Amino acid sequence: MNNKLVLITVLVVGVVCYKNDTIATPQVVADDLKTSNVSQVFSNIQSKEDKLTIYKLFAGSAEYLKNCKSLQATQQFDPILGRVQSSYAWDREKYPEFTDAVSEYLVSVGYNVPKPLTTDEQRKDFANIFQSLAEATKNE
Amino acid sequence: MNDMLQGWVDDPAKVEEIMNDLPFPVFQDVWQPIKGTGKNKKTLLYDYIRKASGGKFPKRKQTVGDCVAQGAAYAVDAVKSVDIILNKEFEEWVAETATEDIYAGSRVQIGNGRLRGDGSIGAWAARYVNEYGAVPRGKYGNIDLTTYSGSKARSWGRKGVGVPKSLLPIVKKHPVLTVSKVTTYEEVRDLISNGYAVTIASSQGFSSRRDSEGFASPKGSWAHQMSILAVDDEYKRPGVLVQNSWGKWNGGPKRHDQPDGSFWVDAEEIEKRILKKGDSWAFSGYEGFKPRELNTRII
Repeated sequence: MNNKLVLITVLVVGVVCYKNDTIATPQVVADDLKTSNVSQVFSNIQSKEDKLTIYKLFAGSAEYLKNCKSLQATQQFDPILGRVQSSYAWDREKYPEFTDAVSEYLVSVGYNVPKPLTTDEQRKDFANIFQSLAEATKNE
Repeated sequence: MNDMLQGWVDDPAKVEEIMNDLPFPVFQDVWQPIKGTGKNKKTLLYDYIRKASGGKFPKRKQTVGDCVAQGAAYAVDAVKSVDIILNKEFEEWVAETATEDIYAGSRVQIGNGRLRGDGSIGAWAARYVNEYGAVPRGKYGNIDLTTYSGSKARSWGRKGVGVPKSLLPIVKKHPVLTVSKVTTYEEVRDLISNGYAVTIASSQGFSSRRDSEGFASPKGSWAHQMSILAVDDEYKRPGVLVQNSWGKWNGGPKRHDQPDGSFWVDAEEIEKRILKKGDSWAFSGYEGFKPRELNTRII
């Protein structure tokens, strides 16, 4: 429950940041070609509300993972993300093509292989995966 | 209590046979490095099980005389959880340990079908989980161990049947690395506080009513195997927490948020009435399950 509260709080902060950034020039994630397809498919989503939720979920996850030291392994995070998505009434696979794009990206960076989260370096690497996704879905 | 829900067979000669095959048959031989380390300490293995299992503490309720497997399975659960939580091994819980294969394996693969009727021997179960192994509840090909089945345990445990051949190679990937006989409270205290688990067998029964401090007094006779899932040597009344496999069978005050079906036993009682019977075993190290691939369809 604590994990969930922390992540929700971070997501709320993410909303504020997102709203402040919407007037800025659209950001192209030129430094990470791996997420370019994610950005492209994301741009096809029509609902601004859903786009905001997606960004919040990724940005909030990145922020949470940067600060969280209670997780021992990467596989412990998905259930937490799942509960937060439920609380946002977000259904996975709502945009199947976008789910595909994110999944391809995650496989390309080795997210699918479980890893321990026992060092700061491991936690940072794992958080960066979500940071890249947040950047790829920001201010499109 | 119905004899059907017990099932330990008191046979010192068969225990001795097993001990002849073990590298460290008596824990006392290797006790020196940790001797005294559990003094004045409290260790709650059931808390590790709760953490490792995400709060799903196994609620075992045997329906046949397979208590030997139930007691051994709780000890495997504890060892598995210690590996994950305390030793931070990169393994996952998966599910509570299945009992049917331990029961059948102890009787047939180890005991060569020499017992008639229900029941088994603690040493045989210890030998089985060490030489073969133990697996969590789940489906293994066409073998379904998802839900406890006393009748399946009994059926597999018949002479000439045993653990299905297709399951044995899977089981063998997940052994308990060491098993040793324990005979004193001090050994148990030091073992538990160092993350070992202990399964105990004797003919001693206990009251179904815990006293004001959570202890149950010796009462009646049970040919029964159970497991020790905690030790509290810092309390004014040192003792161990015994976990039974009869569901929520007893009542009365609890301490340290102990699980349903458990009771504390005074140090001198556990040693005199159970450990000295010579069929109680310490388990340590479990070759567990590496986490599987993660779901990448997360959005």
